[in-house]
Order: sequence, then structure tokens, then C-alpha cells
Amino acid sequence: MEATKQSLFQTIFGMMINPAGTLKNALISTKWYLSIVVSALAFGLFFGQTGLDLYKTGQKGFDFVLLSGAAGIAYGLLVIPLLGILIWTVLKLSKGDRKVKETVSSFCLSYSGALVYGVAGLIFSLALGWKTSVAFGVTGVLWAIGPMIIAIRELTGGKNTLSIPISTVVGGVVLISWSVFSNL
Amino acid sequence: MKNLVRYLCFMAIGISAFANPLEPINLFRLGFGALAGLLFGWLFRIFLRSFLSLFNGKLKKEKGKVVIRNAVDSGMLFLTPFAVMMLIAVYYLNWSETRGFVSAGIMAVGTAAAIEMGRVNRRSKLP
Repeated sequence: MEATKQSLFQTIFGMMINPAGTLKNALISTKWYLSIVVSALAFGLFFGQTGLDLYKTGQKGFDFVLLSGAAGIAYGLLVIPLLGILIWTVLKLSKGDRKVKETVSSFCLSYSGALVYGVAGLIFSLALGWKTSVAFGVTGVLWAIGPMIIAIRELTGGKNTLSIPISTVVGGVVLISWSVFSNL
Repeated sequence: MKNLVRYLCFMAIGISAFANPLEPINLFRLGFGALAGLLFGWLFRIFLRSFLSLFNGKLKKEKGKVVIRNAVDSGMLFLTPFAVMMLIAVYYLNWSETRGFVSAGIMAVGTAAAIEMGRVNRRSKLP
């Protein structure tokens, strides 16, 4: 199948609905730094909504909401690409031939679903006053696991033996680190 | 190996779903949860196989039931991260709300099985 250029918007929704089909085109048409923007925004919105929930219940001030958003952006901007580099190292050790930029881009883009959920959660949080960090935030991160497995599988030439253990570890790390942050 | 992973995942899901945060290590609940998880897994597998058979009748006729069974069993492996995260959420983070993990896991399994079917379909159409 021939690769075609697609916009970042198409890539985000494509990664959410059809990751295997979207990834090939995304790696050609989406710059690696735009992929990192996707994960930064996804985690910025997720952590920001955690702060917003705590603000609504009176446990934290508004400055914590801003701090949460900033911490989330930093998490998506630094931690997620670093995890991507770690994954690339594992793939390299198992004789993979993918470039580090491709691996980091694919990994960051797998959080496209989390970004869509994050935007929807923010709308529901601001417009209807819902507490959305678990309902939308955690759901978004969970939704990202499927595309992540498929993205890693595509990078390893269709093998599940690496993609599933890696995604399991990453999912656990993200869940625990977010929980630690929300209990600060 | 695939079967063992699947059994363990559904047992983990059942155990987490029936866990009581006030008494996490209750042998009766653990046993009941594991059995309920296995029963749920068995029903889900039958449902997914029937669903895929319904929409891939031609392929099933050409290649046999084994194609559907392999796609479903490969898709079921996608449950692993969700089952592990569910155990972390219940036994480490002390959450009691775990429905999101099950629904996201089921969605991922369905998608993976469908992708697997698509792959087989494409391969069978190649000259």
C-alpha cells in the first residue's frame, strides 16, 4: 500500500481508530517534534484535569491547576519521549532496524486517543462541572495502550512477543506515576 | 502459552473486579473472582468468535474455523496490559472503580482480533 501524506488532525484520529493503517503514513508526514507535541498536550490535559478536580473539591488552589497542567506537559514532553528512547534501546538489542526518531514518534503518537479524550474531558469539566480526571483522563491513557501495542508491533515487524510486555510495563509506569502526582 | 496468558488475564480481571478494598486477601473472594473471570473469558471468547465468523463467512469456508480461532486468541493477548494495570489499580493504588480497565481491554481485544482477520484476508487475496 502506498503511503500518502496526511494532516496532524487526520493522524490523531487515525491513530485512535486505525493505528496500524495510520502509522506508516504518520511516520512520513508527521514531524517527530509534532508527535511529541501530541503526547505533551495529552498529558497536559490529563494532569490539568486532575488539578481541576482537586480544585473543585476544595483540596487545592487554582495555582495547583496550572502547576498540574505544566507538570503534565513536562511529562509528555520529557518522560514519554524518554520511555520511547528506552523502547528503541530494547528494540535495538533485539536486532531491530528502526531509527530512534521513528520509535519515539510512534510511541508519542500512540497517545493520540488520550489527547482526544483530554479535550473532551476539559469541555465536560468546564461546561458541565464534571470531575473528569478518571472518567476521561485515565480512560484516554487506557485507550492509548491498544495503539501502543500495535505501534510497537509494527516497529518489530509484526511480533507480539515484545510489544505486549513493553506496553504492560509502560502502562503500569504511567498509572503509578500519575497516581503519585495526584496524591501530592 | 497463548492459552495460559489468556487464563491468567481473565483470572486477574475477575479477582480485581470482586476484590474488597477493606479485605483484599480474602480466599473466598479470590477463588470466586478467578472463577467468575474464567467464565467471563469463556463467554467473551465464544462471542468474539461468533461475531467474527458472522462477518467473515467466506474466509471461514475457505480456510476453516482455525483462522477465526487464531485471530481471537492472538487478539486476547492484548488483554495483558489491562489485566496488569487493573491489579496495580486494585492492590497497589486501592481503587475500587475498575470498569474502565475491562471496557478498554475488551475494546483492544476486539480491535486486535479484527486487525488479525484483516491481515489474513489480505494475505488470502494476494495472487
